[in-house]
Amino acid sequence: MIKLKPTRIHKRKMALLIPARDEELFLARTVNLAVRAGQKRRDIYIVDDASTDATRQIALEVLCPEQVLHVEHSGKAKALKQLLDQFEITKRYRWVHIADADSVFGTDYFRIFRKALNKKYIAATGYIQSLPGDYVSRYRVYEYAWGMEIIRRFQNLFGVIPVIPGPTSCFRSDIIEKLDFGANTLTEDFDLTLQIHRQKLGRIQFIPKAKTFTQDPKNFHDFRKQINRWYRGLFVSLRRHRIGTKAQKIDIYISYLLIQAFLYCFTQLVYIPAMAFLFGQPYWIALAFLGDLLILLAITVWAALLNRRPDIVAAFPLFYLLRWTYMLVLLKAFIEVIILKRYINDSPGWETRGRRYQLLPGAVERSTT
Amino acid sequence: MSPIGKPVVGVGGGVLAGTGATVVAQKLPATGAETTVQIAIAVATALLVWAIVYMAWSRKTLKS
Repeated sequence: MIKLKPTRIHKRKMALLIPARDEELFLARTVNLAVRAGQKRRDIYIVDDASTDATRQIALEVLCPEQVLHVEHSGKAKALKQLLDQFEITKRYRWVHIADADSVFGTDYFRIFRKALNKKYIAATGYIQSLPGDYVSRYRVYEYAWGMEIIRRFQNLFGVIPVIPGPTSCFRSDIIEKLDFGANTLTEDFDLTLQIHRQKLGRIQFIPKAKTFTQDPKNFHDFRKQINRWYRGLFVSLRRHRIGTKAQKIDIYISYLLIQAFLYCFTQLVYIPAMAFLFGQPYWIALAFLGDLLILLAITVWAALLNRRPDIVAAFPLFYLLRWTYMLVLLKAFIEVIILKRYINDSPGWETRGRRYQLLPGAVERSTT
Repeated sequence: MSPIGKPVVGVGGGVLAGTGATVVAQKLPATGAETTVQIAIAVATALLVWAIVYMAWSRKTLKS
């Protein structure tokens, strides 16, 4: 009897998936930047989630019809799942990279990313930076610098990366089937990452040399809307995965982060004023304010030097306002989701119409070269 | 969740500054205490003016 050798299917290394809804403004640029950053055009796929603008036509102009899928409005995660199934991506590729339709990839982003990918990890994420813009973008330069240089490295060291962010997320194709893309959540990237931790699928790789840039909210109104969605999504996913109730590292880490944030609110709003009042020493408030401000200023200057973006210091006084907005929205979302049990079954919304805006002239070139 | 996975960045420093202030304040002489309040008011005012000037500038240059 002749024994047949099992057929070995050659899998290509990495597919890039771009979910898009009303992304006519930047979609072509994103695909072209991906190609420039080292991703082959034939390995790029777009799912158009029932866009009401020219997204579909643009997708078909920059890619072949076999790389573009049009679906009924289903939300980002479900649209991606349909794309994966339709083009049998996990059978044809070893890694699946997902990026936002407005992503701006660093010059060698995909070349660096592909080279660094290690199969002992089950997912990977790169380094996020903010594109030039107004004060919210400037605040995000400070936030991402501290977040990526210090916090992400710490998370990577201890295996507690809590989120594989939308603009730079890559999954080993054999774990895709184990992830639930259909979960109703406001922050699908956070929910997918928690699924990885809860199912103990493996470790997440951080590739700091692979840099990608993201467009941050244009104004305070959009900023508030964005963080409202983030924090409601945060608490919904924490509830769903019962974070804080098990002895996993991720439970301990996220609990620590929340305690730290609430402790800040408590010291600034309750403890210091109460102590100052009880001891009749109002200058304690002045001292706490100056100390906090000095630390914020030191990190801002460091972030400006690190990113060679001295312009961010110009918006420094507004950083204080934005940080307090974060705190208050976090408290509000905690009350809404954990206490009042609202937004728990909210379907994912990712309307981008009106959220995207033209970048400052030369912003992409200045950032990526 | 933010791309960093930390709800609010920089609050650890704020907690340290807050608790540190209560320790330092107990050792501060009365004159030093008065000066601290004056400095804090001056700094807060300067930041407010700075923020207004920045907003006016950004409205003029970034939005055009």
